[in-house]
Amino acid sequence: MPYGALDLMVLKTLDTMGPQHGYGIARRIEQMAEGMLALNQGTIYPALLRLEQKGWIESDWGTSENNRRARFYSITRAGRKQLAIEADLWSKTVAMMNRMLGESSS
Amino acid sequence: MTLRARLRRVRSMFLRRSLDASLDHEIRQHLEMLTADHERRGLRPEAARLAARRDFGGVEQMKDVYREARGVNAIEHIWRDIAYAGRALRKSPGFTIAVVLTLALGIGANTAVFTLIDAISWRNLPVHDPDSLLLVGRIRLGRSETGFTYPQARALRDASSGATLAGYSSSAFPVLLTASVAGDPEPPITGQLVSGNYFDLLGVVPQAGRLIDVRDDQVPDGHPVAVLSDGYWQRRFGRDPAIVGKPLLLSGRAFDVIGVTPPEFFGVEVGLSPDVFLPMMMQGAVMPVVGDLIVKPTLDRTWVQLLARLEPGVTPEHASSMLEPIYRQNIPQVPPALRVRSGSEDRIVFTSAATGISDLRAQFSASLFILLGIVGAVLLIGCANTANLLLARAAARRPEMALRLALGAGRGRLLQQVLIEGLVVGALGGLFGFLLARALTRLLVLYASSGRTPIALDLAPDLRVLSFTIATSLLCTLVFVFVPAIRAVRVDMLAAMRNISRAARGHASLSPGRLLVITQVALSLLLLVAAGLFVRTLVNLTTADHAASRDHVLVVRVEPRGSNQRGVPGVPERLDRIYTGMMTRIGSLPGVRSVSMSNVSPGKPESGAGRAIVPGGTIRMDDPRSPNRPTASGQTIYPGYFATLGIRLRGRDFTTADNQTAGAPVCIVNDAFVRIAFPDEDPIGKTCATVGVRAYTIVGVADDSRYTNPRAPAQPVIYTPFFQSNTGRGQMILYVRLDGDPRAIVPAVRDAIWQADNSVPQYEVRTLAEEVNGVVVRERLLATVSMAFSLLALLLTAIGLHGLLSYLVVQRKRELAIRVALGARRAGVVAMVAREAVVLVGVGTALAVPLMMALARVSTHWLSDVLFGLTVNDGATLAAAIAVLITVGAAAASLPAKRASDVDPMVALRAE
Repeated sequence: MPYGALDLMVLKTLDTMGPQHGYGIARRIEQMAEGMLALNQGTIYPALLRLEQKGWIESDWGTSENNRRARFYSITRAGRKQLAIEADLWSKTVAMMNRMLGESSS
Repeated sequence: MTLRARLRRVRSMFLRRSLDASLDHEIRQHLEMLTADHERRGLRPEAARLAARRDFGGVEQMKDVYREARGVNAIEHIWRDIAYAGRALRKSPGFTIAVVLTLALGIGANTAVFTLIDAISWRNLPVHDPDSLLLVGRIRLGRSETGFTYPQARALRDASSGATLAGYSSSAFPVLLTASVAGDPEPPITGQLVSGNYFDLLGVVPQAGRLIDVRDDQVPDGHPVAVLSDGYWQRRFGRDPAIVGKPLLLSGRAFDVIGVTPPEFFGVEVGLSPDVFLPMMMQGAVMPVVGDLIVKPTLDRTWVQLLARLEPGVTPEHASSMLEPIYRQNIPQVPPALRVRSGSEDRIVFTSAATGISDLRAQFSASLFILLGIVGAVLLIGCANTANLLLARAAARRPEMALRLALGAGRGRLLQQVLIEGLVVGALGGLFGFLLARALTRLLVLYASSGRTPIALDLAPDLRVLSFTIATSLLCTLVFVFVPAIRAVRVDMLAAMRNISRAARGHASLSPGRLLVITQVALSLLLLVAAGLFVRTLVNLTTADHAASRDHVLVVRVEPRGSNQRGVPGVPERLDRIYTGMMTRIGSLPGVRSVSMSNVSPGKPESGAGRAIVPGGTIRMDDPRSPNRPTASGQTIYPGYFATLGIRLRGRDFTTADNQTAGAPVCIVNDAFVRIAFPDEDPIGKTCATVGVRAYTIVGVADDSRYTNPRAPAQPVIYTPFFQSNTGRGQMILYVRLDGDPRAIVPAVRDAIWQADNSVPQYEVRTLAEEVNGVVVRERLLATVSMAFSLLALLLTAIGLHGLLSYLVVQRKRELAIRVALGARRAGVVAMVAREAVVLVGVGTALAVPLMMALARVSTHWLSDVLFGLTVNDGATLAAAIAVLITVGAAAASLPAKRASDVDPMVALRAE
């Protein structure tokens, strides 16, 4: 997985789904990947910490579906801004890569 | 990283445990939900749990990554190392206590001396804007002086010069007062006379009532008001605010208490603390002995010190140029012969008074820096000991270090751990040293206060002192941790591991330890020599005079009413009746051997105007004091003076018959007088004339005595009987020679004085020894402190030497055992230890001597001011110091030597 992709996926998930706990985020990413991504679910926790340290997400304790105390993450304003920047950068990168790969294969 | 992220990292360092717990909780939740989902998809519980684990990935690896990201590394390692060092130090309390105590003593002593230097020399006065406060001085014949007569001070103050001036009475003219609150006499107190704008100029705010202002300084003798100092308010009145407005009887005059100065204010003379402040206009009432200097000023009573603040935009030069003509107009008319003395050439100068004005600075500055050098050397010796102990510890921990290195610990981490242990020790030493310093500082001040006047200083540690302590502690830590740290980390893994049960061996590991002990020996020798020089200086100074039984002479200052009146008919007779009554009563007390009086006290400048001596024995009063002509001072005494003080006398003493106004004029002179006036003749029976009065016949010659200034060569003195003296008599000093314990008889002496005259103020009664010690307080301070610290240094060095030799013996136990088993004589084993000791002490001494020479050359002019009767390069002192060092070295080596000779080959070899 390209560097930074996981962070971007987490941000996008939180942006569309609203506050989620760690498992919810992991499940959503796996669903979206439709089996194309072999993700060790545990790796999202360091990613969440990183994002929280950067101030793009924040966390709070709440109650999960099974009525247990769980930590819920939500995206911040800075996070939304960052998401827009990263998404833009990502699509540009993808477009460029496509062009390059397309040129070389033709 | 953003600031917020940084903060989070730091926060997480402190919250490590709770954050770990919350991560664990999250992981558990995650796994539970994942397992539940798998079960819902049809897996059996066991299989679902396994699948969840697989999906999640390695829990511990993830935690490691997580912690790393959270910022555990450097900061948390330091945190852990501090905790680890704390545990390790707790485990060896003996080591910890020894090291911390050594450091605390060293750092404490350094901080204490530094606090004194700071308080005396560097601290700003607690007044408004101290930096703009100036002292007005004069340059007279190239020398700077301060002090003005009252008319001069008033004229300068009233002139418009661009400077605002305020005056106070100089400490050279002390105001000693008898106080009385409820009608009973109390211990005497000190006062200071201040001008009406003094407190206003300084910007001092009262803590109760009001301070003296211009309204209180208008009419001579017309403003009997007093402001108490905080110290006196607390000491005498228990901070009772009701005292404001009450009367206070000072030297027989009722003053109204109007207010109290704030606690931090001691006046502007550092080290002095007047008990009361009085308006300058009351000078005549409180200084009866010198007369009223406001109404009748005299030329040499320059008792008013002037403080100044310049108005904005005014330069000191401009203010001086405005003030100088006014000063010159106010020089009293004097004969042309005295013109140089009159001050017509004087210039007015301003010097900063931000840190106050202080005689202490001149008296103690050099001594305090010498003391700082001494305690600094002791601290170094202590550091060397600490380093040696840490080295031994490092050696003991080599197997541990090697094991940890082998298990993959980074050398940097090990180094960090050793450094942090040193820092913890250093911090503890610094902390305790700081606390100890407060007590030591007070002790030093108390000691220095035993002189003529008590010293009051603001000793609260300020930022400068605090920084000094911290810097000293850090520096120490660097010094003692450096070598052990390097050695601890440069462990040869294999060598150490192969032999884990046995500690490191061989000579190489000892060499840093040796170097440290040699340094200690060298420094100890320096300190011993310094202590020897100071102690011998003190002995030289104090044995110069009155050597015999100084402890058995009491000194009492008496000042009956009228003792300041001159030429009033009947007064000398009345005084003589009181004095004779006192002496008769005291003389008949049991245990009193003799009693006499004089107008000169030890530790006070000699009284009586100088009389120029003309060879051939003539003394002339009218001669201007020219530097080329020796002068003699006059001293008024009663019969029995020389016997009471133990001064040898040739010829005869005065008798009661001499002490008559009508009697034939007689005098006694001292050896110094004879050397100048009668170099080749026997002076007894000769006469020396004083113009305008009678010719005195010399009846006796006394030995020189130098109690006023033991450092100066003996001054010529003419002693005359009380009734034949024509100078003002002022305060007289009663000397009582006793057989037994002087303290026991003091109350009886006090009673006898009161019976003779109940108006005599009861000044402090002290022994002659205390008086003389008061004169040499600086020398005594240096001698005592340097002695105490050189002994401490010696003890530390002995411990260091003993430790090193013991270590050596333990290291070479096996070798010694084999030697003994092979038939080596035990004497040879002892000799081996002895040789080591001799080398260490010898090299240390050899290094110290040239170092000492160099130091002596650098500091000659400093030290020659402090030493007396000997020079820095004093052979006898050096020899004695080396002898002491060798004796102590031998004692320190004897225990390890004995242990070496006691090695039992069987036991030692089996242990291997």
